[in-house]
Amino acid sequence: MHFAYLVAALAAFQIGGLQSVPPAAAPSNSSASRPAIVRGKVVAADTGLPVARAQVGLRANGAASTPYTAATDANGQFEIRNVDPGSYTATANKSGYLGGTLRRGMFTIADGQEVNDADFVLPRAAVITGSVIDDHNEPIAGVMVQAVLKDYSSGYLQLQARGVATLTDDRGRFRIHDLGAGRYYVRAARHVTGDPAPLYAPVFYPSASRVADAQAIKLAGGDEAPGIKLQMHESIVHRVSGRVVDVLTGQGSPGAMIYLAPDDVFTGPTATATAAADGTFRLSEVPAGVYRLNAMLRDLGATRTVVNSSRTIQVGDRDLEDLSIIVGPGTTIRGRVVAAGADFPPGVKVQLQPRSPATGTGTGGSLMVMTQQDGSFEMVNVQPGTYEVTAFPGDFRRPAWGQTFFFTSSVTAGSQDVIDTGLTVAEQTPSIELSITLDARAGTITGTALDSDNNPLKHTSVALISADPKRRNSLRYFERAQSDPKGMFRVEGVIPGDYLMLVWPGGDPGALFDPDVVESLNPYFTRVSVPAAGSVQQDLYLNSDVLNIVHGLGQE
Amino acid sequence: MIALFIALLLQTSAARAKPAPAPALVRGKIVADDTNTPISYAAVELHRASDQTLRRAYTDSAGAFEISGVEPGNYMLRAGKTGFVTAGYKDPDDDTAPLRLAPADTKEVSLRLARGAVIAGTITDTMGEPVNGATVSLLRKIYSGGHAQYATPSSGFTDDRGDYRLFNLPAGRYYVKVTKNLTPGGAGLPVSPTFFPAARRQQDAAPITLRAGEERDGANVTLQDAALYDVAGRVIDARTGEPMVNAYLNLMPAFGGGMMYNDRAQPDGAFRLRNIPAGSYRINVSAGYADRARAPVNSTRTVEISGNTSDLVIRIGAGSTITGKVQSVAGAALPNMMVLMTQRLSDGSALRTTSGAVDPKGAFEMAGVEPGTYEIAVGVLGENVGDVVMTSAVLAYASSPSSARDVTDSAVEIGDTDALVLTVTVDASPATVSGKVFDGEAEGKAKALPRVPIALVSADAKKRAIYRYFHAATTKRDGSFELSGIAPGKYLLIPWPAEDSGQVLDPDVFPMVESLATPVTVEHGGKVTQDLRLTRALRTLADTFAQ
Repeated sequence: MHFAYLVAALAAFQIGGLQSVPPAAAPSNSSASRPAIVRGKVVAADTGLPVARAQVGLRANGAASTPYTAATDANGQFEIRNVDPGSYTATANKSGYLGGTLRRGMFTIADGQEVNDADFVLPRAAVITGSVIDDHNEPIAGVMVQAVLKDYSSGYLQLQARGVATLTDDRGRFRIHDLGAGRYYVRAARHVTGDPAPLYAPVFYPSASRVADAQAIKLAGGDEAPGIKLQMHESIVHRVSGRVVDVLTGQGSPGAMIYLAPDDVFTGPTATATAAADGTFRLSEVPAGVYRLNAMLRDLGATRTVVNSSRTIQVGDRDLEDLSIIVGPGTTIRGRVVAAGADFPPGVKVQLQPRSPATGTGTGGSLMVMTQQDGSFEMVNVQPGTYEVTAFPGDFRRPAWGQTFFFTSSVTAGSQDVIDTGLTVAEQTPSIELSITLDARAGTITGTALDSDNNPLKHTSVALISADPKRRNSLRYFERAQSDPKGMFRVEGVIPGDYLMLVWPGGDPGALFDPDVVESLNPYFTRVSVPAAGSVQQDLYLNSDVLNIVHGLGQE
Repeated sequence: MIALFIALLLQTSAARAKPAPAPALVRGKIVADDTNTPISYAAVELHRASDQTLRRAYTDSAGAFEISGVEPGNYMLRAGKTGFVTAGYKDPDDDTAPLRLAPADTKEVSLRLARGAVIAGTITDTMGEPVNGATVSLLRKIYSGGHAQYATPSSGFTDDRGDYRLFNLPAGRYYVKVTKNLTPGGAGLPVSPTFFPAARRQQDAAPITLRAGEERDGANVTLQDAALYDVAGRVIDARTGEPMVNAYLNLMPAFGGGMMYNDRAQPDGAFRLRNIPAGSYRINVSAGYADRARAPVNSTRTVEISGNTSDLVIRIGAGSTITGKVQSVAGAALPNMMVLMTQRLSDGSALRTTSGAVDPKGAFEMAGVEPGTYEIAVGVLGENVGDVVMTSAVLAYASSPSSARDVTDSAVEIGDTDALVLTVTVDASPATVSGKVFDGEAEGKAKALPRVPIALVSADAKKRAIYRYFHAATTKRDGSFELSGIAPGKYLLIPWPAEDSGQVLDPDVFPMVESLATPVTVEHGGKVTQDLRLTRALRTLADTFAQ
């Protein structure tokens, strides 16, 4: 009846240098399987010398089981015996090194197999250490300090945290460890905790409020960047209050959810509130800045689909009181898409991608609608804001192989072409008429990527950006391609116009969305003019300065 | 039409205003407890939970702060500063009372902050390698109903050198506990939770006593390799003995942290969990019956793993049914009464509580009770808690009235599919014990002492382990105390000048305090008055065991 089991210890594992532990609940199908042996070596990437006392794990894929584990000996070697046949992922870890996964990733171990080359090469980890102080030069405890990399792979700037971020201690000290090589920005932010403490504005090293003004720290494997000192300033906060009103009833909306998000995701906190019985709401501590204020109604019943409202507010040097948030149908956008240079394709969609007015970059949450066969469309409940408008057939902006590529060549609202400026939907606008033109007459650029000695560069990126700086924050005028084994590349679906091209000797040419990067590479671009439906041949040479600049971005 | 509507709404919204009551003002000074010196740039927060109003202020170089324009109401006021222990406003009579601000009030509130202690060290594995990303928790003994439990006031992680540092700690006696989960990839040897300096078991841990402001470096821990065991067994239908179908087992550490282990049983109900680190676990089983018409079930058991086992039989059934009656020895049974059965883990914390509502005729029923060891108690929903005590409980198999036995003061084991009858007697007008605490050393007329914690514990060693025989209070401003809801019996009354009077039941403390206690006998419905003297012997003893 009683459910506690106390069984005497029958076996204890000897933990020594070269030993291993078998897993729990590993596949144990039949008694016929003969256990396998996995051997290998762990070496340091920079010196090639063995790494002793590294911990190696062998985990059966798809099973939530205890992995086989082993430690390397003084020669960096390990051995795991009695491995059940199956599919595994192997990893190696050692403090001070970045963890490594076996290069071939998953591998299958056959019945009775002896694997003798499960070898790992571990890069040495880099570290950033320093301290955070306040306006009185006193240490601040409990600050989250992160190392972030700039990432433009989505066409706009995102910050990716790397390594293990830490909270500052009572001396204000931090240590960000397990970092790979790279060009990092250090960001400090103090989140509200249980203990009373001042509110601080987030800061980038050394004391910038925006990442654009931050100073980068370049780290190679095994580097330690000590003495990184950040100073945080107390935030001055304001109260934001008002009332949420349902436009259909004219009444306050009890229980409406209010969500305040900074327009620039890197600069401030988010805040939420719930409207009271009369629809009023209050957010107590909002630092100065530009925010998107969203309101959402709940429990509307089946007949209502219009539930949210979104607007941009600016918090300056005082409280914002008595805001009225009218939650209503928003703006209806209707219009028609026509095709030029080809028949109107089936399945055309119209997409509205919000653009943040503060940063000019996308902020997610795009709206999409399918056109009728005649190209007409209608989009309801569009909230105030600025949007990039695109039309395209099929599911993606890029067509499937062998299908015609259409690009959006004009978006006209009234008499204005908003293709490059974005469509601005003002508050309390009942409707907007749009006419959109799809054009099948895109251009193509072909050529060979070469080094300065005229040797072809295989498997290398080439990229093009618009020659017009105003068009550089849109994915429309950004293209990339990869050279083949002969160094030849082909860029298709280029919107007619003038471009700057470059061999990109790094991972992600998305960094070209960074105006500073374009500025530093300015002398090395090749200018290309692409006519409608035209095909342009242009070889590109990699300049050694470009190699240095791109590697200086921390790209490997 | 819509535009018109909106214009109208904007006007009405701007015109809305309510007459506000005259605002209050709070000001004061924050000083260091040890040196009496002002603390500059300390943060002061005035918080009203009802509507999440939060007002902040910072002290100036003289340690002074002022918060004006405060809406009248009930607030919490707290002050904090790096290097100090956060402290809050406390009413001299009632620790839980808020700071009450009436219209146009000006309140002076000064707080003394104790200097925070620091504990730091390095965590290494048995090979002497630093352990990266280990969780270091600081445990402190607290008492709940006289039972010791461990609270975690602070925790942190080690860095790549194995270093950790925990700070702003109140003075006290701490245990350092280190745990480490395997990395997602699975590299790393399984390790046992380890207590400072290198103990696998809590009872072998060495406490570290920190004085206010003390900085203790070198609290290093060698993380011990886990002792691993295999656990095998079967999941069967408790009624038929047939294997359960599609049984899925999930094993998780009973006290949180650590890895989860799982296995799907074979068609014959057999399961095997391999290399489980020793410890207390909850095992959750979801399974279906061979008879597909019966709904699948989910059941949670506890299991202590300290060796290999091959015969863990998990019997799944509809659970036990317990029916019964509540009788009142005096007065009518109170409405909203519940019979409660609590299953406890080895640390005294409740794993689960099963309850049955008592109907106006005194009958109750609990179905689907999972097997295990339970304590029986009664409770009243709402405000009358403590106004009813259980005086007896008798349990019998429904099929065999002669199997009846007294379970008033002992835990009871419930089987897989038992049908049981429980007869409970309650006293709805229980006794009270009250009195005053006087300074035991004073000459002449002794002074009554406020804010002294009091414990009332059973004189019977067996009953002392049971929560409902433990009562605690703190003396008021005039030195008086009152304990209510006391079951008849012999008790010991002890004033205990420490943080928590539950400490007197600590096995280390009780043998020493027993001879200093005042015995009292409580009759049914009695009103016992007993004054107490806080003697030097008691003070010295409490200081010795100060947390």
